[in-house]
This record gives sequence, structure tokens and C-alpha cells, in this order.
Amino acid sequence: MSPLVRMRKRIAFLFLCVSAFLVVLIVRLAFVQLGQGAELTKKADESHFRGVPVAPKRGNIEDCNGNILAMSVSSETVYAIPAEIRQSGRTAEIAQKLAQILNKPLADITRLITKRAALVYVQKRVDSQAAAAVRAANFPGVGVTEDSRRYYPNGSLAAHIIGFTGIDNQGLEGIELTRDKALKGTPGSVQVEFGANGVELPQADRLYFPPKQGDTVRLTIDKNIQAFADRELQKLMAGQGANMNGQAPKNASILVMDPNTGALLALAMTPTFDPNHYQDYDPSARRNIAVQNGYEPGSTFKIITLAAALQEKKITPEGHFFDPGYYSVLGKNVRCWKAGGHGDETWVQVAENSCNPGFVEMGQRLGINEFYKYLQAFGFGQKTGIEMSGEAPGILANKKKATALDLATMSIGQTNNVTAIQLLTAVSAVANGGLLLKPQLVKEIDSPSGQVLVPFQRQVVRRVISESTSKLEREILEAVVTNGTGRRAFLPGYRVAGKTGTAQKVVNGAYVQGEYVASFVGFAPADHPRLAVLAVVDGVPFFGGAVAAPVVQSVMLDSLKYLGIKPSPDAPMTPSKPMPGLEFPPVKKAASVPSVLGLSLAEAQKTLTQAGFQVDVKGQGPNVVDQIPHGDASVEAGSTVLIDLGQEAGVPSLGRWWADEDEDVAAIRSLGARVPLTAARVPGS
Amino acid sequence: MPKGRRPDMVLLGAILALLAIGVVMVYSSSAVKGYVQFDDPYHFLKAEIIWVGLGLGAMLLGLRLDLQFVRRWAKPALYLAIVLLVLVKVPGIGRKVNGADRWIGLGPLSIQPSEVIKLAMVLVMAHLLALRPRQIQSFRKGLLPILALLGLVAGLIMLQPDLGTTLAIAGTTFFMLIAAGVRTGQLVALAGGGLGLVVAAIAAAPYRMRRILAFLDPWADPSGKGYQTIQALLALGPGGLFGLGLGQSRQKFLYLPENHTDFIFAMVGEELGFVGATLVILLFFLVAWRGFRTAMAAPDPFAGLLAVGITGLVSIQAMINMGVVSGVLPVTGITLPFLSYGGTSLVFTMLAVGVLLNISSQVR
Repeated sequence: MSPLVRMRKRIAFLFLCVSAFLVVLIVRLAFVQLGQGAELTKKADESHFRGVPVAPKRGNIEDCNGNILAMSVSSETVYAIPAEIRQSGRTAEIAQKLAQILNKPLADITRLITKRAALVYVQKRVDSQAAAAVRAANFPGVGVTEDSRRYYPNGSLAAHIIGFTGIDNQGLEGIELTRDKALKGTPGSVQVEFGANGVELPQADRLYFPPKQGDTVRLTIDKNIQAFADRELQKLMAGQGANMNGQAPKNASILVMDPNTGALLALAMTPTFDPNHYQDYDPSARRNIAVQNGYEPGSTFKIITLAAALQEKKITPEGHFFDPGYYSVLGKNVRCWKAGGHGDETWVQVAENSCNPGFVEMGQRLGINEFYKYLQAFGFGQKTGIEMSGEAPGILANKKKATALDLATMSIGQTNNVTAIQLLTAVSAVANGGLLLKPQLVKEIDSPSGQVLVPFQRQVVRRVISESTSKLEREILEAVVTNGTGRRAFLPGYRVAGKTGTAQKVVNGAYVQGEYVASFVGFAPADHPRLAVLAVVDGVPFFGGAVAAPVVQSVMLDSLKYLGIKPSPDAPMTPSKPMPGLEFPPVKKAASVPSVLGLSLAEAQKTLTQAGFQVDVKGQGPNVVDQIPHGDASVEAGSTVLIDLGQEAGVPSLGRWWADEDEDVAAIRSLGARVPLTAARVPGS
Repeated sequence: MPKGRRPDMVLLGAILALLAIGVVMVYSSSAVKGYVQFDDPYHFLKAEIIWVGLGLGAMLLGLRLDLQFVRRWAKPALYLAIVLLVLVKVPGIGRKVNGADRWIGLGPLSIQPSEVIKLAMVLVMAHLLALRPRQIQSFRKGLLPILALLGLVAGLIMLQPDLGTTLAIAGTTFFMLIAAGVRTGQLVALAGGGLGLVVAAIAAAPYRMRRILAFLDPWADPSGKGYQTIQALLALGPGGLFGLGLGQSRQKFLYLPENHTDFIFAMVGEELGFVGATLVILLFFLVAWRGFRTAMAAPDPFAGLLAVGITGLVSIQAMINMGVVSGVLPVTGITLPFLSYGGTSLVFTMLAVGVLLNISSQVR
């Protein structure tokens, strides 16, 4: 082959090689530009676009009727893009002006706007004037964006349930925390295209992605019932609680539940706080004592003992029991509150009298195994699962080590440690036909357009007692209020069932002398319960039962009326048998008391006299701030209405109306010095 | 240029088309950088126009040169180029850019000796290989001295270091050896040896290894080693079929480094899309086709080999550059002939294609 021919062939080969490579390039370009185009475009956009976030409006928290408990109000946030400021070369000038407008130290501003970050928030929640000034200044790399701020229009009302949010509107406590996901929504953004040096592109594309607003969380709480409870708590803390002799308790809680659904209508406690300024309060004020604190329930717990004994047929209502005044267990006498005892009683009378020996007998008949079975069935020693953080499980005495004496004290509500929410949930089970329900705070979750996303669903934990046992016990507990020790919660015209309780306070693992936890738990109407109410008052000087019952009575009456629940025609107008030392005048004729709240003394006297009532005046001041009985209360005609004059609302202390003995205090005294259960003493709890 | 003979008009047209696309793309892609660095979006365009003017002058010069005159100047040109390469390393004369000594300052201008040596090597190779056409069949007398020269030059360039230019020169030399008729067996051995050298070069400098790794999986280190490859892909991808439109590049906002020089092809792909990029590839295909055609029909072996060398030089640089940009080759600093922003590279490439056009006008 001549060199020339070979050269031509070889050149042709070279051309072929080059052509082949160029074909490969075209294929590769097709793959990158056409095949991967969309994916690479997305990645390129991610690296080019920088978003100025647009915060979503956090959803409202509302009560069961749609009253707003927490809402978002718009506010404005000043942000800066440091790279753009640096580029403008006016860093010092901008910092100075911003410091002036926002009234912040120059050093802070300078540090922020020179930070190595794509975007910094210079100041959140600026007022409209400052925002307008920043907008007008039109600095390069400085802007104002819409933000929102949480506002709680009712102040401290239901504060422990609602909780509060932090500076970034993130839920920190309460429902704000537990339902943060639903409430917070999804942030949107204004996306602006930037160069690699952090400067906005000329004629940059701007894309607006609207934020998705948060959902509305509708609570089971009823703002009005919550307010009734709050009012009673305020009275207590003002030293105006019934039978408190002007003293204020350490703390108190009032819980109202719909026993048929487990929905909480009110969960109020004191001390409380205003979530609008939660930082100003001691963290202890934010403690949800109804859920996080355990206490010894005292006689209110006898409801559980009674339920177990009835269900297991250890007693019958008509059966008899003889109370000599004490019950001897393992060498210790559990004393009855009535000196000398009640003598021969039916089991219904044992309940009416809250007779300690009778309940100890029920416990002994049940035995440790069965008693514990019911403790567990009713949910004691376990969390109820209520949607609140830090719920305490309560403490039960170790079953393996429990003695007959432990059983005796547990039967009358001593020794074991329960939370308020546990007790009310258990009593609701007794009231509603025997189903233990999960207590719930959220009624439903609604989308911003009002569509129900998550509806309320009753959650049955288990059946604890039968329908018939429940019915029987409802009647007995009604008798306790009508005929027995629960008379302080009696509501004329309504069928109320309930039980008082007093317990020793436990502080630092030891019982405190001379200070008690008073409680009352009740439900109404007794035949078809619509409301179950528990009041726990901690730090009561002595006869505790007399403190909590009037609180429940007041909340119950207002709530029943508010809910439009008509008085039962077959309900008695007066308790049947007065307590010792207490005389009820004979009933003549029922009459409705006119409300004279807010009237002057002369007007009030005129109104009441015309309605046929006697008037008793107390206090000094221009106007009537309270009256006993309340307006609209049905009382006997011609009875006396006490009106309280003053500047502010409140209930006058009635002194010790009922000079009485307290069944729990009797038991506590008879048992002598003991050591309370603490979490540390119970292994495995 | 002998009277009455016209150069290959297709080749000329392709070159001028590439040059025109280059001017437009250099302006489009350098406006931001010019504005940011020099407060003048036209900064690079102005310089580019001057360079293109110089380049067109150089092309006309190449067209008019007598090939025999050119051949006589082959060896002196090589010596000059080698001197320049050495001068690069002399402090005070050489200028360091991006960690490599690639420029020699001459007042306001700066030239890249590696561009001079490319052309000088093609010239010398054509001269030597055409001298005794059959001698190349012998290893010791034909191939070895040429390889020795290549080794010397490559060594000097790697001192800068400049792998791209070394690859371009080695590849071009290989093309010319193939055309000159080196035995197939020796060519295969040579290719193997060359590959070994590349491996050695990579082993010697860790940064090259990192570039290789980055090329294999750019997303492993998107802000580090894989940055350039990724940014090039992020330019090409959004370009799609027809591109974002002239001047609409997003990547030019300082995301893609060297976007008006080594990565200008990515700008073409982003603004003009797959269609525009393919057009550029087809124009290079035309250059290769007409260039090699000229070589086949050249009046004498020297002219033929010179044509092969020039066509090879342009094609290889274009292939490496576009291969790097589209992610089929690891990142190597090499310009895209005619399109990349000016400088010595453009002027010497234009001079070379001037000579190629010159040869094309003398085909039989």
C-alpha cells in the first residue's frame, strides 16, 4: 500500500472516531437535557430560589360551641438578606437606621445583618408603625413579612388546657403542644431567584406559595361551664369559700365531665396563669394539678368500694350492718365519725351515713384480690390517657404486701393516691351505666373551611360494672345527697348524687398535720346523669367536706340551668333528714328568688319584699354583689334572702353553718401516725 | 494563496458560524461577571471583540502564508515555544493563575505559551513525519525521536501543570502518527503507554484523582469536588429542547465558574437548549469533516499531515471540552475552540485554521 493511500485510509478512520465521539455527545446531551431535564430543573431551582417564608396562620382553639379560646392575630416581622446588604455596601448605614426604627442596640442589629446566613429575622412582632418605616426606607436586602402572634382572648380561662406557644408560634404546653401538628399549618413562601453571590436576580422570577392555614381544634370544654368553675375557684382563692372562715386554700381544681361520653366540659384549677404572658408566672402556676398531682381521695372513694361490693353481691341494699362505732382490724380500730356508732343500719344507710366501719366491712368481704381487681378495672394506678402532658398514674399500695388493715384503709379512700381526673373518670363509669371511658378534651378538628376532619368519638376503655349495679348505686348516691352526708350539695328540684371526702395532705412523703384535702364528687340528674363534677380543694384547715360540696353544688346548678336541663318533677325540694345540729324549717311553698345582683340596696329590698322574701343584709357598699340563694333558685316562699353589698363580686363566708363531724377526719384520727405512699415506696408502679 | 483558488467555503462557514455563536454566548454568559467584577456588563464582550479581530487577522495571515515558508519556520517556532514554556516558570515573567503558571505577561496582554506550543508541535510533527515518509515504520529511527520530543514538551507543560493542554498535544500527535502510517501494533502499544502515563499523572497529583472521583459521582460532594460538573448539569438540564432563551441563563449568575471560558458549552445548552448544543456539535462535525477531507486531498504529505494535525487539534479540544461539560469526561481545564472567551487560545486557533483553509485552497 502506498503511503498516500494508507494515509487516506487512516484519516478516514480518524474522522470516523471523531464522528463517533460526537454522536456519543449528542446522545449524552439528549439524556441530560431531555431525559433528566425535569429533575435537573428542580435541582437547579432549589439552588437558585430562596424563599422568604410566609408563616401560616395558626388554627384557632375553640370551645365546644365555637367560642374562641386561642386565636392568631397578624403581626409583622422584619427580615434581612445579609448577602444583599453586603453587596450594597451600606451595611453601617442600614444597621444604624434599623437600630433607630426598631429601638434595638446597634451592635445586635449589626451582628444579625452581617451573619453568614441566607436570611435572618431582625425583629419579630414589630408594630405597624415600625413595619411601615422599614418598608418606606426600602433598604436593599431588608424586608417585612407577615407573621402571626397568638392571642388568648379569655386570659387565664382554661389556660392549663389550652397551654401556650413560643416565639415561633410552636406549641409549648397544653393542647397547643399536643395538637401542634394540626394547628400549625404549613408555611408558604415567596420564592425569589438569587445569584450565587446572594443577590436577587434582575427581573427575578417570584413565585408565591400560599401557606396552608392551621386547622381549628374544637375542645369539649364549654367556655361558660369553665367560667362557672373559674368563678368558684376565684371565690375560694379570695378567702370567700364556704366554711373556709376567710382562709384561702393552697390550690384547688374543679372538673366537669359528661359522664356518658368522657368529654370534659370544664377543667379548671388554681393557681392559674395568663397564657398571653406566661413568662410572667412561676412555672408552678402552670402545673396541671388535676392531672399531674395525686392525692388521697378519702370518702369520695367509697363510691368505688360500694360499686365493687354491689357488683360482687357482697351486700344488698336491704341487708343490715351493725356499727358499734369502730371496726377492729389487726389490732387497730378504724373509728366511725359518729361517736358510739350508727348502730343497726341497712347498707343504703351505711352509704348515707358514710359509715366507716360499714365500708371497711365491704372491703373485707371483697378481699384483697377482688378489691384490687376493681381498683385496676376503674383505672386507678394507671394513666387515663387524657391529652395532657405529664399525667400522673397515681400510686396503689403494693398488692403483694397489702394487709387487712391496708384493705380497710383503702376501702375508705385512705392510703391510695389518685389523680382528680382518675377519680372523676371512675365515678363517671359508675354514673353512666358501668363503662369506663377515656377522658377527652378535643371534640373535633375542623379544617379552615369548617369541614370536620376528625369527629369526636367516645372511647370505651372497658365495662367495669353492670347497668343494674350502676342504676342501684346511682340511687344510693342520690340518697347520700338527699338523706345523708352529701346534703351540702343538695339542689332543690334536681336529683343530685354525690359523695364528700377529706384526706390528709402528703408533703415530701409525710402526712401534714392540720391540713386537709377536701373534695366532693357528684353527678346529676341522678337517674340520667348529664354532668359529673369533682371539686378538690387542697389546704383546708379542718372540716373539709363542708368546703368542696358547696362548690360542686354551685357549679352543678349553674351548669344544669345553662344546659337547659329541667328540674325533675319527682325530685325533693329539701333534704329529708337534716344533719345533727342543722334544722331545716318546714317547707311551705316553693317560690323563685328574683335576682337582685347589681341593684342598689333600696331597689334590692323592694324587689325581694315584693316577691315575698325576708331580706338579710350583709357587708357595705353601693350595690348587691351576691345573694344567697341565687336568682332563679326555687326555695320555700317567705324564706330569707341574704344580700351582700360591696364593690366586687364574691360570696360572703357563711361561717360554720353545719357544726359537724367529718367521717374522714374521724378515720384519720383513729388510725394515728402513718406514712403515706410515695412513688419511691412502690416498686414497679 | 494562489490566485483563482478558493478555500473550502463550508469549512470557512462552519468556523465563522462557531465564532459568531461564541461572541454572542461570551457576551451573554459574561455580562453578570463583568458587572460584578468590573462594574461593566460589556467588559468581556469588548475584550472578546478585540480578540476576535486579532483572530480574524491571524486567520487571514494563515491563509496567505506560503506553506513552504511555514515549514521552514517549524523548528524555530518549536524552540521559541519551548523557551516561552520555560519562561512561564521564571518569577516576574510568569503569572500564576489558579495555582498554575500558565501565562506570560506582556504589558496589558498576556499570552499562554501552551497555546504556542500546540501549534508549534503540530507544525514540527508534520515537518518531521513528512520528511521521510517510510522511516516512521521503524520504531527506533521514526517513532522514538518523535516520542522523545513529545515527552519533553509534555513534561514541560505538566510542570505548569496543565493536563488539558498535554492531553490535547498528545492526542493530536497520536492522530498525526496514525495518519503518518505508524504500524498498528506500535499504535496500540503507544495508546496503552499513553493511558499508563495518564494514570501516572493522576497518581502524581491528588487533585486529579479527586476530579476523577467527582466525575464518577458528582452528587457525592455537590459543593466541593463535584461542584463544576453539577453546575454544568444544572445548566444543561433546565435548557431542555429549545433552551431558556438567549440571555436567560440562570447558572450564569455566578453559579457556574468559568462559564464564559471552559464551560461556555453549558451556557449554549442552557440558553439554546439541546437544539443549540447539537448545532454546535454539528458545526464541529463539519469542521472535522472538511478538515480531514482537506488533509486527504492535500497537495503534499507535509500539507496533509499539517491539515490532520490542525483538524485533530481543534476536534480533540472540542471533544474533551464538550465531554467535560456534558459529564462524560472528568473535569479538565481546556477551552472550546472558537466559542470560549478569547485570549491567546482563540488567536492561535484562528491562525491554525487559517493555515488549514490555506491548504484547502490548494487541494488537487
